[in-house]
Amino acid sequence: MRTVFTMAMKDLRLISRDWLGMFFIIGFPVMIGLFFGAMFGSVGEKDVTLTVAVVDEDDSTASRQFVKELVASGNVDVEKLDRTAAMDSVRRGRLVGMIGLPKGFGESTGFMTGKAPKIELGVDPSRKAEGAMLNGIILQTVGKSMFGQFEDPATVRKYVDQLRGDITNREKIPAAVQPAVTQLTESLDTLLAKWEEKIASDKKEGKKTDAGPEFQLARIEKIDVAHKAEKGSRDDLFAHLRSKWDISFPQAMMWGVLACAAGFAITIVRERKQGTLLRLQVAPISRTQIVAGKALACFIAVISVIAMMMLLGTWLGMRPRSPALVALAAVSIAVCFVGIMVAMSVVGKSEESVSGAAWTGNMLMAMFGGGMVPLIFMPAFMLTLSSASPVKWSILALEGAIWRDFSLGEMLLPCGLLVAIGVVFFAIGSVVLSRSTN
Amino acid sequence: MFSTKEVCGQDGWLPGDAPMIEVHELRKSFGPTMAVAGVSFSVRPGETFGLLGPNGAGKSTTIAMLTGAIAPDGGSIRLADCGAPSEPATRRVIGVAPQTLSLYEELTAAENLKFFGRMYGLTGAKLAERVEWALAFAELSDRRGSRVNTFSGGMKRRLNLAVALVHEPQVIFLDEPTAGVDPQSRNHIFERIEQLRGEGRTVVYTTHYMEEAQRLCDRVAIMDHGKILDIDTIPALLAKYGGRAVVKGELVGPPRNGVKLPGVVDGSSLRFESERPLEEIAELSAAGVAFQTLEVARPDLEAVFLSLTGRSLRD
Ligand SMILES: Nc1ncnc2c1ncn2[C@@H]1O[C@H](COP(=O)(O)OP(=O)(O)OP(=O)(O)O)[C@@H](O)[C@H]1O
Ligand SMILES: [Mg+2]
Repeated sequence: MRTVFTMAMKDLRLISRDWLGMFFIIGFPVMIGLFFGAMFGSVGEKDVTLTVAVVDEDDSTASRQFVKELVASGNVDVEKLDRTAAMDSVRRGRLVGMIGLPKGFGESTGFMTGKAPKIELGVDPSRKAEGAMLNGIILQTVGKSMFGQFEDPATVRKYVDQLRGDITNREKIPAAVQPAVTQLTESLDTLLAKWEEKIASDKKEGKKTDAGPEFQLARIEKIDVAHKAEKGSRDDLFAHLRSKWDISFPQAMMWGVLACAAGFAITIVRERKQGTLLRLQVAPISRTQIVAGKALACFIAVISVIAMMMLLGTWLGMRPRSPALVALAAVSIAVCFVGIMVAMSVVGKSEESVSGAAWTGNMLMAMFGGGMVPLIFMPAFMLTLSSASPVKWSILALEGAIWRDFSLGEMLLPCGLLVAIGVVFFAIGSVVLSRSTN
Repeated sequence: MFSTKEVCGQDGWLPGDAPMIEVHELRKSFGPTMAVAGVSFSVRPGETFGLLGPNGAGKSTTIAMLTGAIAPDGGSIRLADCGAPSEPATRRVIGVAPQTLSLYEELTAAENLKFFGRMYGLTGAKLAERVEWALAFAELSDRRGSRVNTFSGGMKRRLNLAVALVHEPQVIFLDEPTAGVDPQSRNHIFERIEQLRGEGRTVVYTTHYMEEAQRLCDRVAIMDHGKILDIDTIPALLAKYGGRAVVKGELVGPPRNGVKLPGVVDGSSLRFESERPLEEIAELSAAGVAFQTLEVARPDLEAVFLSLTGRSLRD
């Protein structure tokens, strides 16, 4: 067991030193999660308008900007008052609350100051729910002024172009990952184009656009006052959503998982090509141990990606309903994709062919499985097709644990299928692998 | 250092008693290609045994079977009195430096050594000590923390050799350990192999450079087309197939009367073949024949190969 663990640690170290591999496993999913999440805008949020008093004692550019953003959030109406008048209005129940921007507010705002801006919040104690909501809106506005630059697709495009330049200018970009790089930059382009399109159409319709990332630094759960929709219908599902990251993060995680599977499959061929597999084969360890080492490394990587994305999502405002079921989903997904990884490693003899085939497989699984179009938006016929893709079952398991509110029994279908798929592919892959080495 | 006795857990084994490696009628084909077509030989403990042959002779395939990397189609292998190379006990006593550099390029020199040391069951202080030893052996102590992909070809070769030795193997297989290496690094590797030989390890060494075989090996098997043509000590091979030495020289002046010159005389040039060239030259000198230039071409393994196969070793 120690040998297997040593081998897995070696593989994890190798993959962590491969900057491009790491980008696909972590950077890309984070971007997908943020961008898609942002595009879903305020899915699941109910429109409520709160009337509040603003006491701007700082009267600086920053404080005026803050008030502007607050109004722009669309959820608050603002009355500018002095401190006494404001407190009086809240006390008499005319306003939900008051927001105070004390002197020095301007100096502490901005991304680079390292200080949290000081904001006072006074709320009518009898209106707790609205107070909590106000709290959320304020945090969101603060986040917006910090990350505001990401609101404009043109700015983001600049980053993407720079990224593309960075990636393609790196001297020896291994041929094995070329298809993946192309794929990545293409999908980012599509994403940006869609985003710009949405902004343009919103403008035409005269709507306030909600495209673009709105960073929710905290999200306060709102009381569901909507009518009860038919169980299982799209409206019913929407009613379950508690954050716009609920849909984008499970989807984004799967890109990291797919990258793990392809990445470790490539390391198996690479070991063969660079001769280190030969060294392992003549060492006093069994072939089973060699395969187990790879499997363990991939398993750990998949679990880490999911855990990391869950943390990031939670920080942004995602509120998983059941951590235990999230763990169950993560383990099932890891088992599934470890099996797929082993099978992928035997589809070709060279790094190029394995990488090409693995990423083609990944794209198909993602496309039909909800990695691109979220399951919740899929037309019925596609949803039927999607059942062939393990990505669908993975996303379903994750969503079940995060927001669909699955019971353990409901989790068993996707999780059981994932484990079964993993076991079958693992068996096929390792048999071919052990044959091909002789 | 451990003895094979401890490792194999068999009593009554004494050096010199039995061959360290015994190979009988080994065969291996890849599809239609007969890579190894029935080879038999044995290697004594402490011996440096050469496999000399041109590209595609089957040397690497033989090594791969001897080390258990691939299974033979037929024939038998007994190693270090432990048995077949697929046995873990046998694997622990053998070390392999493959022909292709077999290292993790993104790991450092020390990390490679540590990892492979662990694969052979080394841990803790013993592992640390062996890694130090191997780094010093490869003269890479000051580059221990550098990734392999920043190394020169010669440095990688040295590390490739050191990784094979980290677990103190008793039997060492070196498959063209000097391939693609400059003369200085090559000399360094020769000295290291001589050091191993001095320590009494058994070495199997493949090469298509006859100078290497001549310098390092006690006995050499000449291989071609998957077959061993002959196995012997180098002097014996030379005597059997090398032919006679060729002496060429320019005379200072015409020989004195009465001195009979051997071979062919063309103006002032002399050329003759001899079993004992140095003695004959001395005799000529004593008789008053003065040479302006003199060249003695002794038979070498190249000539042996040529005479065995009718082809030159590197064509
Ligand atoms: N894995 C393989 N698949 C197919 N053919 C192989 C394989 N390995 C070796 N061969 C063939 O077997 C023959 C012997 O190859 P081998 O590598 O043993 O030669 P070698 O003596 O080591 O040559 P070199 O000096 O070039 O290293 C060659 O014809 C080679 O093409
Ligand atoms: Mg070879």
